[in-house]
Amino acid sequence: MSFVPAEFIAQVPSIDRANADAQPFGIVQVDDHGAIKLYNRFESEMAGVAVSAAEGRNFFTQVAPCTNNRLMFGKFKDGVAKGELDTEFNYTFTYKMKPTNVQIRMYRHAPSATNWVLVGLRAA
Amino acid sequence: MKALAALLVDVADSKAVVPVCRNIAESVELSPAEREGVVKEAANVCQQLQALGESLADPEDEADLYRSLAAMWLELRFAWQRHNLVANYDTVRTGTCAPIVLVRASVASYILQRIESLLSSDHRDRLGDTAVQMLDVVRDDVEQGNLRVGA
Repeated sequence: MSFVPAEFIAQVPSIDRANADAQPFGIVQVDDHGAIKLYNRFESEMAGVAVSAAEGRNFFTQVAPCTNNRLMFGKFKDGVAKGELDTEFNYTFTYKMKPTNVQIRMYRHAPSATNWVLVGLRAA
Repeated sequence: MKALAALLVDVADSKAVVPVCRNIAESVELSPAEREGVVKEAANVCQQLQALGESLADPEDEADLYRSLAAMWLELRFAWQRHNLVANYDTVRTGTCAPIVLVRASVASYILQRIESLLSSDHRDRLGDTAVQMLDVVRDDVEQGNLRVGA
């Protein structure tokens, strides 16, 4: 079972900042190249990156360099190229933080061509 | 304003760095020997940074000291990147990874974070972006089938 409620996925792409900030998991909306369009409060606090320092920059190469590999950025690029992306997997963040186990869901809403990287905490 | 070498003494003060690294090491399950090993590695990096500051302490050495700190930032960034890659490939492949790798990654990124307090944000961004571009070009090349080992 996903850490992302089905009701949340049903609301994509109309998630606004207030709604995103109210969620108990990280929400990062990125364009097809990975540039951040929306970075929610949970993600900002977990990563220690201010929203203003994240939005407009590339998620995979600049804000979360731990994701610049085939496991994440590669899957993202493949998904965007195919126009289809919905994958969930375990991951660990270590950049400027204690080891933090997370679950990642990368989702593309095809009708609106919007991309979402969702991050939930998981027990070790 | 304090000279760069004097600021480096504070940044690389093992009395400040070691407790944080110990705390990171205690956040996951490690054997006492592994934990002490990581703490020793961190203290060793502090010592190297202190030595750099001592050797390049004159005002006319400041540009070279700054350059060396930028190089050290890159070294730690690459070390962190390697540990991070091992941890996450193992996590995806086997469902778990060696905790020591996670701790090494976190410790490397903690020390690089301390060093970057001495670098301008503009230089830091340029170093990071250049390193990413340089390595991504190589990876893209291999992804396109252009791997000729040793050729």
